[in-house]
Amino acid sequence: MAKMDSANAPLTPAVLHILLALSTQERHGYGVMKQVEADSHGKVKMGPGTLYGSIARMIEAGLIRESDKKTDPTMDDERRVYYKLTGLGQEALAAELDRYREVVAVARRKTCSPGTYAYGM
Amino acid sequence: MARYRNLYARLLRFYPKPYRERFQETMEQTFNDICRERAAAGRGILGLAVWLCAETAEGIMREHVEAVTMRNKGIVRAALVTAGILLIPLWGNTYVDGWNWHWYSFVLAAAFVFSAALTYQLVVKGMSNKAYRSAVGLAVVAAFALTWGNRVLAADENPANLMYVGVVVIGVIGAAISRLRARGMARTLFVTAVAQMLMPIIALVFWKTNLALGRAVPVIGLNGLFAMLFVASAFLFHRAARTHT
Repeated sequence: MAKMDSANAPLTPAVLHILLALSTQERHGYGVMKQVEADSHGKVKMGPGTLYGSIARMIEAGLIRESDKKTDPTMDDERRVYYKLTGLGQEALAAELDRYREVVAVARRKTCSPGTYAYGM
Repeated sequence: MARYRNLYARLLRFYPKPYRERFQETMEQTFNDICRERAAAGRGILGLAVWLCAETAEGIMREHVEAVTMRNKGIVRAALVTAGILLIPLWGNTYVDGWNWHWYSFVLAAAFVFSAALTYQLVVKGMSNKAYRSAVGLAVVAAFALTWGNRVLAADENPANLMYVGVVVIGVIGAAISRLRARGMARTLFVTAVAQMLMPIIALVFWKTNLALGRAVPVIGLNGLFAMLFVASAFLFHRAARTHT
C-alpha cells in the first residue's frame, strides 16, 4: 500500500481507535488492545487479527512506525515491539477528530432547531 | 495454556509469508498476554481462545484477499472498468428498442475494453507524472476507438477500413522502439497522427475507393479528429518529457 495521499482522508473505526491509543504514548500490541478497550469503555474489543492487520496497513500508510523492542515493566521480561505515531499519524488523527466535532456541532444545531426530529429524539 | 499457544502458532502459519515473518512472534506474544491475564483473573480461557482463533482466521482470509488484490491490482482495475463499460450495452439491450447485442458481441467488447484498460494499467504502472498518465490514457482511448470503430463496426462495409489497423501498428512499433520513454512516445504519436491523416488520402488516391464528395468530407473530418487526439497525446508526452528532465 502506498503512503496516504493526504492526512485528511477519513479513517476506519479500528484505525481511529489505534491512533487514539497511541496518541499519549508508544505501546506494544497488547497495550494498544487494552487501551482501545479502556477508551471505549469496553464497547470495542479488538482481536489480534484486526489489530495487526490494521497496524500493517497503518505502517504502510506512514501513520505509525515501529520503535525498538523493549520490555514492559508492568509485565514479564519478554521484549516486545512498540508502536508510535508519526507526524502524518498525528495530522490524520487531528483531522478525523475535527470531522467528528463538526458532525457533533451539526447534530446539536439540528436538535435545537424546531421542526426537526431526527436528532431530537 | 501452552497447548492453546501452540494451536494459535499453527494457525498463524496460514498468514501470507511476508505478513507472518513480520507479525507472527508479536501476535503469539499478544495471544499469550491475553490468555495469561484471563487465567490470572481466575476465568476459563477456552471460550476466549476459540474467539481469538476465529477472529485471527478472519484476519488470515482478509490478508490473503488483500495480497491477491495488491498483486493483481492492474488486472482487477481493468476488469472493473470493463464490467462498468459493458453495463452500457447491457442497459441498451434491456431498455432500448432495436439494440440487440448477441453474447459474442459482449465477449468481443469485453476483450477489447479489457485489453485497452490493462494496456493503460501496465504502461503507467509506477508512473506518477500526470502528463504522462494522461498522454497514455488519450493514446489508448484513441487507438481503442479507432480499432473498434473500423475493425468491428465498419470493416464489413469497406475493406479499405482495415488499413487503419496499420495506424495502430505504427503506434505499437513506435512505443516498443522508444521503450515507452516520454520523448520517444511524443515522436511516435506525431508519426501516428500523420499516418492517420494519410489513410483517407491513400484510400482515395491509390486504392481508388469510390467515395462520393458528400461522404469524403465526414471521413476526412473523422480522421482529423483521431489525428488531433494523437497530436494531443504527443503534446502531453512532450510535456511529460520536459518536466521529467
